[in-house]
Amino acid sequence: MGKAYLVLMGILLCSKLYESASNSLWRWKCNQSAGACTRVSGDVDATLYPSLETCRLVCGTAGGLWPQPTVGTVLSDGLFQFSLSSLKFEFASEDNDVTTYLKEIADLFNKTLSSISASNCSNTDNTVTISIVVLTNNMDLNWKTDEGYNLEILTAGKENSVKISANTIFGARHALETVSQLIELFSNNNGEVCHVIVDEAKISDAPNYNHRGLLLDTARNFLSISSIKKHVDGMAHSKLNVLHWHITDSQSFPLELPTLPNMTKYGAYSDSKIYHPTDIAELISYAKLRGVRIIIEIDAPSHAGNGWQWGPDAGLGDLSVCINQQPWRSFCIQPPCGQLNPVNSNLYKVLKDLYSDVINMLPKGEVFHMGGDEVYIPCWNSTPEIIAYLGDKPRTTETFLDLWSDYQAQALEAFDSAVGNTNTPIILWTSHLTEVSVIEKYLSKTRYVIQTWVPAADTLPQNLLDLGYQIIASTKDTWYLDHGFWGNTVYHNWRVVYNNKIPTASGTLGGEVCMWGELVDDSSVESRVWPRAAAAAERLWSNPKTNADQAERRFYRHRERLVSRGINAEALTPRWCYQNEGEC
Amino acid sequence: MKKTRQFSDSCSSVMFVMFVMSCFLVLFSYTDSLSHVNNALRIQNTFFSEADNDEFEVVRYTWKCESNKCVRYHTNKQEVSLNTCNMMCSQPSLWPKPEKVIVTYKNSTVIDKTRISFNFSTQWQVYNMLINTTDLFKRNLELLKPGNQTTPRATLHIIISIQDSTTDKLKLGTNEKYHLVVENNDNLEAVIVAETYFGARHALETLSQLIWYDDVIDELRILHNVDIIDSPKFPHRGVMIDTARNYFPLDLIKKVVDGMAMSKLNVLHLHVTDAVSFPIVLPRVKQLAAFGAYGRDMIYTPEDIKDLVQYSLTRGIKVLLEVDAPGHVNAGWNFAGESLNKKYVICGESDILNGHLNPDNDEALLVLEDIYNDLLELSGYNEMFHMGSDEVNLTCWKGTQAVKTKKAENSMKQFWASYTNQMLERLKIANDGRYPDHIIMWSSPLTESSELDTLDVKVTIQHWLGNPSSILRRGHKVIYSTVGQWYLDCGFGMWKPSMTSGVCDPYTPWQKFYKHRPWVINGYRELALGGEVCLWTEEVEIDSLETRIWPRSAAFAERVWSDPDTMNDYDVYTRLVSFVDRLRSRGIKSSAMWPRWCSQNPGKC
Repeated sequence: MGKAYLVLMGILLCSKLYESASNSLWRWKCNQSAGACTRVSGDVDATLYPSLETCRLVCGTAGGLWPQPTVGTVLSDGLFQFSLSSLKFEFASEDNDVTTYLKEIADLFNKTLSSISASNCSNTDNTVTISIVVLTNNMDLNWKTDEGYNLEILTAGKENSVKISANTIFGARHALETVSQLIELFSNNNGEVCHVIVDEAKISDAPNYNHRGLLLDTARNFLSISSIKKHVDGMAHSKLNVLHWHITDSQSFPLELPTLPNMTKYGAYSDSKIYHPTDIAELISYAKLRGVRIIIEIDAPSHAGNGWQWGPDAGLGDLSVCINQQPWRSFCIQPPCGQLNPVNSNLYKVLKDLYSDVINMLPKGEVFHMGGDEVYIPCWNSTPEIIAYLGDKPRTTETFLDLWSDYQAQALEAFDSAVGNTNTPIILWTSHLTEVSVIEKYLSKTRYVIQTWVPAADTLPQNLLDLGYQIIASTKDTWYLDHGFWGNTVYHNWRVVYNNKIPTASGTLGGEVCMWGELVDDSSVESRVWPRAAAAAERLWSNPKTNADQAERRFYRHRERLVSRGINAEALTPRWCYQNEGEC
Repeated sequence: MKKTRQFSDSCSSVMFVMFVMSCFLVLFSYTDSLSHVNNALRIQNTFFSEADNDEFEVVRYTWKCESNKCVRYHTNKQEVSLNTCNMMCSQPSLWPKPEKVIVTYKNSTVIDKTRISFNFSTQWQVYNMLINTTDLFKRNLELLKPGNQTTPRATLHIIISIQDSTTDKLKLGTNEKYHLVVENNDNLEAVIVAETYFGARHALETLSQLIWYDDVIDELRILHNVDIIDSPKFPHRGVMIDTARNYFPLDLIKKVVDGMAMSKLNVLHLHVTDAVSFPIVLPRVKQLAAFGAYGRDMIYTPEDIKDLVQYSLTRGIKVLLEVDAPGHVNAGWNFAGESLNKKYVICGESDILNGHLNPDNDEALLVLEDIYNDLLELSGYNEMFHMGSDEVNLTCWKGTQAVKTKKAENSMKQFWASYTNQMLERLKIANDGRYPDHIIMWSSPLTESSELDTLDVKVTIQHWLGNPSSILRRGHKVIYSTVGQWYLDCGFGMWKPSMTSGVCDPYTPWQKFYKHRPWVINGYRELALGGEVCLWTEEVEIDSLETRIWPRSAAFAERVWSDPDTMNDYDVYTRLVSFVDRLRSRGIKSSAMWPRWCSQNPGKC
């Protein structure tokens, strides 16, 4: 009897639910005081949202926004339905360049939101007008750029208006990014899919840090331009603004330099694994449109091997030493070995050409990263040419540090003469040269910005700030995205990434998460970086006092958003936990 | 009526000029110094150098075989490609390593991907599968070298002989052995002899790995004068995927099957449901998916499953469907509504991740019987059956009437055993009155205790945690899935606020997968059916499924296929990285093993 009843039930239920489950039996309810969307099964009810996504738009103080706005956020819980075809833009700027940029970001905005499933929306009576006011004509993205914006959404009858004002185009871009996160797809009662926008909102927003970066390493393994663009997309959606491109290393030299073709000739993995100057130019403008600047790092004097072999054939002597030398453990900390030859004066001529070529690819005044990490003294100390150069000097650590700092001084001179000024900021990694006791002897605080990569517990970042240096923090034991797959390192999942706090003193320009490339290439780099880089993005933009647990719902939503926008972000949790907020 | 069909590819009848590279070769003995290999390769390439132009924007690399290792050199004229050097210099790049490879003298010939001829005779039972496999063979060559074949090259004749071509199901005892000989006397010929279709399929896989793309000449080459005898060390070689914590589309699962076929793995174990979702639509109990799936587009229909079963079988793989019970249930189960006073699942509110069947409601067992019926029908296979049975939380059952009634005489573990016996009884009924030969359960406190003896069936244990010695002492067959060695999901940290770290951190690198030999550690080699690598998917979705699985499952595949006693680093790294390239050539995503420099400089990292 029991079983028969069950089967009967099954037939009834399955005809009703399984076969016509188009909008499923689930609805979501916003509990505003808890800021949680709860999944309920039940009849259609005006207070229920048809999807988690629409509920999340308005539930809690920051809805589904990522990163959360800093100055103030007010969201109503009403939704305004519209068709993307009746969304219009208005720009109030006299400047051509500014207007061109605004038109382009408006196109991008439309592209991001357009959806095949929403092509049948017939609701064309409702209109949305986005008007943008940009107060300055400044087109430069640097550490001084004002990225803040104000945003207001109002609805009157069938007209919804979005008003954006910002000091720069980059602020306006961030505002549009925020607007895109206030819009979702919506299945209406006519069986159509339309868009909805939060009907009233007021947001005032500006970042805490001006340098919010992601490091990509394209030397250990090559990353295709299309893969790099995906990262730029993810950065744009998360309001990160610096792509730090660790473009070369001892393994390979994939950057084509017009005056030094030998670098790729000897250093690229293959013909197809090369970045041409045209690629770089295209990428820079692609990134700029997404509010991202690109900082190039040519790591030296260590981490420079393959690509530098051609010196002797060209009559310039050894530009780099210990190249691919075995057993590698005696000459470097990771194979293959290679370290520039500081005592060869031809090296600095080559460096000047190299810097010129790179400078020519970059926007005027862009900063440059000279690397400077992990010089391995035994390499230099086993090179006859260097030993001979040192002559009678005792071959102590200090002697080699002096040699290194001489290298650094001459490299800087080469850079300055290539760029034609003496005030372009240069970034260097922390190293033996940046230890608190010696840094002032070796590196000028007016020229160098120090990127720290010590663990969270290390006081070096604070000490450098106290000495008056500007820093960029890449906390190794939380923001190194390659950890967890080699040696004794552990994976830093998004909660750890999010909870990492960096110094707030004004010398802290910001921070970067670092994707070292030994164990990733195109196949896994996206899911290794995303969505964790977005967790750091909120830390750098909003720097909230709260931790990851309070950010969970918005972050889960952001991860889904990244996926729906084509970025292969790693899963964070069983989908059930996404669908049932706060229950896991 | 049995009918033997003859099949031969149409192009075998086409006459054409043989273009066999080996006629340009100076014959040499393999036992001679290996520098001869380089000489020979150089001779071959001088033939093609005219085709190259003189523009060299990038200095090319060439590889020389020195002391059995390929060494990279800069050159203006590339002579030997890395693939060719790896294939000719030391052990041919085959994965997993065959039991016995005899190379009389190494030689290679450029072949024409459009001129592959097959010749076989077979019973009708495996005819379609064999046709599909030969098509796949040709498709894989196409993927290795896309585009037109501009110059006609040598035809490869493949002759397949299957002694028992009526065996069309893969069982534990199915003979997977094969003998493959590739020779180039008058014709370039590969002769395959196998007991069953499944052995022949493996042979074709091995043959496809004797063919490689040579980027110097933009052609495919095949290694010949090779005699390979091969069979697996273990009959059960699996990959488990959890499709409940997160959902994976069927096409993506098929790509995993493709990679498994390349690795000669033979069991796809789908942990298809769990407490958080029930994506499989079962004809007798459709409500489970209606209420339990994440969404309308996140289900497996009965047709999907049948399709997957056939797709996998063609690739030498059987599909094991596991609906975990009595724990790890929740989503979909209380479809009768909460107004009924008897729920199918209890404790689901307090622990949504691990509800339990309600022992006070006998109808739960009837639903289970329906599920078993459907699973047996959908998989078309009943030699093995996986019941789940992991992580039963006995405190959940403590307050139930069923326990109270029996408590006087029974411990909780005895209660668990008796409930398991009721489940076994349902399975027996679903399976037409007899128990499947191998009923599998995850290792648990139950299987580690003496209560194991009170089960009505001598079950096979999928061992993941704890010490298996008591299970082995009791003589149970074991499938190893050792956590920390063969778990693909570990290492990504906590995924909910209440956790302080990941459940099984750290990440397990491929080398550990490769080296783990539980049958050596635990003894009782004869009780080991093999192993499975497990991918639990709390922190995995579509994009990272493949990169979690590869290349680590391939490393495991060589362990269970060849079970080598030692690991020669140069040999294993070089062959595995070639295999990863081959996976990628077939569209399968694999994680990077190291910086590419290390691939280009074998033995130097």
